[in-house]
Amino acid sequence: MVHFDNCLVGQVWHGRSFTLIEKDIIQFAKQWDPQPFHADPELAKNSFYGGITAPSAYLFCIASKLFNEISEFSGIGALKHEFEIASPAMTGDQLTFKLTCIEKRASKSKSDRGLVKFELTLTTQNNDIVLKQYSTIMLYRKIND
Amino acid sequence: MHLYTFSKAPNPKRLGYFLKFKGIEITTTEVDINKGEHFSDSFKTINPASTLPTLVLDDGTVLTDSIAICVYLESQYPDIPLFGLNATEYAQVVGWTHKLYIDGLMPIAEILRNQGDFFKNRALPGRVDLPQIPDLIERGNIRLAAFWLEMDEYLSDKAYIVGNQLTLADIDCYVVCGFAGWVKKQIPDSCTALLQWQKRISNLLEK
Repeated sequence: MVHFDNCLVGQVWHGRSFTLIEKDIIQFAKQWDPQPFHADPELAKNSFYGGITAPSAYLFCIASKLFNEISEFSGIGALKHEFEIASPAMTGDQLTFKLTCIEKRASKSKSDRGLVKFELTLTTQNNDIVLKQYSTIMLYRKIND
Repeated sequence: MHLYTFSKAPNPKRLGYFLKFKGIEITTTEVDINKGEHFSDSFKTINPASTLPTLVLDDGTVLTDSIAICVYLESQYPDIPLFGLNATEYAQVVGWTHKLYIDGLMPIAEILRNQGDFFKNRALPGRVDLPQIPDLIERGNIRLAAFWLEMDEYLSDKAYIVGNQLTLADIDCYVVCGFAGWVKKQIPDSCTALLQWQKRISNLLEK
């Protein structure tokens, strides 16, 4: 179990790869982000990237799924997410997940918790980062000072 | 890689906690010091100084110091950093491991090895047989008492020895505190900061 105290700044977790499948992207896009370059293969062919691209919300969901798979965190909840879509994620891309603890701060008022800022990335088989996300998450402490 | 160790002894313990926290598993052979297995011809061909831990790398290189082994493994397994976050903290961790060895571990070893039959003519580890010097027991007691006070003062305003999180320096100091029990010594009750720190590190290392 990863708590605030045994989560070290600089610590890295490597998640598994996730392959983008066109029908899954389209299914997600039709419900949540029905822009033609996400939801319609024919219209997407004539779009800027020439094919179906994954919605940013879908990438966020993938990152959340893979985050949950790598380790058990004593999380209370997320306070903030910031993310950038550095390059398009296309059908067939194999996205690899990496998580890095970049900052942490114990709560001054509540001795049982602290805030940890993580960097999450999804990187393609060509080493292009398609999602870079910064998430501030409140974790329980293992030690109450 | 192949590790030769004797898990109960202090230097192997430094490495043991380091491996455990980083989640590193290495094929390991226990060499029983109590049975004198470290003096066997077969082990001396690996490490002529008969000291533990000893790590044999895949290319045959033999590392025989805890700090050397930890430095090597940190470079090979960097995902859980235990040498600080930058060059300054790295230097501080290395400096502290040296200081803790000299000022913490050695006084206890002086008390332990300069009395009794087990260490007779083996007052220091290594290739050379050395006679015991009983006066060093008293010197060890004085040095250990000073060590407790120095660490207590140092930790009075800090949660960890270097930076803001666990490093090998904390592991080393934690092992020294436990090693003191071998000579029936412990952190004095008056050293409240050091005792609180020990509890904090215990919570992290003793899972």
